[in-house]
Amino acid sequence: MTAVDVYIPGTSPLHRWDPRAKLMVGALYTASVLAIPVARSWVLFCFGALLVSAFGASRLPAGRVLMRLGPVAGLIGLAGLGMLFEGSPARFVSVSGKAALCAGCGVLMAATTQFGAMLAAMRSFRFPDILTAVSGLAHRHVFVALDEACRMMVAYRCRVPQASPLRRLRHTTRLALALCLRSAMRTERIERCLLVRGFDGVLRTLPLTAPTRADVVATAATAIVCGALLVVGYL
Amino acid sequence: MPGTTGTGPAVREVTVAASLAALGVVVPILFHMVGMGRYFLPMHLPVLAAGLLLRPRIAWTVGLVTPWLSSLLTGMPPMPMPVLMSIELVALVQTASLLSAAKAPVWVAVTAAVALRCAATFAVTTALATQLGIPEQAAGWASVASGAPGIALQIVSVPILLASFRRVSGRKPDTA
Repeated sequence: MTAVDVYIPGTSPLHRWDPRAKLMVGALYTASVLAIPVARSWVLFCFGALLVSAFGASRLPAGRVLMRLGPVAGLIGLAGLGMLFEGSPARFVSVSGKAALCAGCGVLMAATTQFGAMLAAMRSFRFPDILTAVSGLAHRHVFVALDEACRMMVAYRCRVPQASPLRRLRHTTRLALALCLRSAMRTERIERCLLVRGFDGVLRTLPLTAPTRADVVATAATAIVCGALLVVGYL
Repeated sequence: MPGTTGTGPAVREVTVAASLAALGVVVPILFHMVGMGRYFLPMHLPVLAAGLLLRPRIAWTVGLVTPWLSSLLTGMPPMPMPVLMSIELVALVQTASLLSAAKAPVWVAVTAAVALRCAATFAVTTALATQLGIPEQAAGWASVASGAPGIALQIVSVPILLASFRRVSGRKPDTA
């Protein structure tokens, strides 16, 4: 029904790249893309080429990546169409291009980095413990809640195959409320399990290994390319 | 939300926050399955509930984590929307939490939180529109107006959800 958790195991250089470096480069890439002025939208094609080469290096199966990007691309296209009808092709290219590149960067990061590694990277960047703990536990809880939501939706569709939009809204809201209540009841059991295991509010993660020379070189090179493209965008 | 164990409320609050952040990912999927995701702001429902249930020192994490987690796991909202959404959701959850801590009535906390969230949405969208070269005022008002059905849904359903949550929390824990 829904594609969730799209980490695709692999041994490519991008999979092996230090998660701290990936987090840093991802943030830098997104910020650089968003900062490009509308008049210099052609620079976005260079950022696009960088992203495509990263996808190539990641050796991810094209089908799965396209399946993940498909719905996002549709949404971005629809949003950008407004600009086109407004009579500004440059803005259309700028808005859709920036959104597509940022979305692509997010997909690439999620596909090549395990969530645990990302949490460890967040901890090494001194993100508050409470933030990493909530993120880690929420990530585990999503799959349980989603499984329950899918079962509820299948049962609902069997019971109510046809309904007016207003009825559907009322039913969906009730389903959502029921899901929230079931989660609340489960929360108590999760709390007790965590306490039994000695959880003290800090989510422990495996320590990350020191970045290799290749990691440092790749991070520096990507940062220099992003910076250079940003400068070109403003020249 | 009071803790039920000897170690105090911290673990209870972390699990409730994590559970509501997870629901912030799953409830939009539920709404999208029936084609009603865009205008009813489903991600805001659990986040607002978190604001009413948790103390301000932890409530903000739900607003910050939910859009990023959803974007990473489901691709929705697509980047860079999580940046904007995390700002508006933190505004929503913190306002609700602060007012709730100040013992304000639920409907006051919900209405004020939604109003401040709208202001944050307007400000952030206007700022982004300037960057993207889109007419600022139009983009700001459009972003607020498009969520109007969702605002009505939040004001109606969140107090009901909160009452049910409190009823469930007050119940004797089961051993399943």
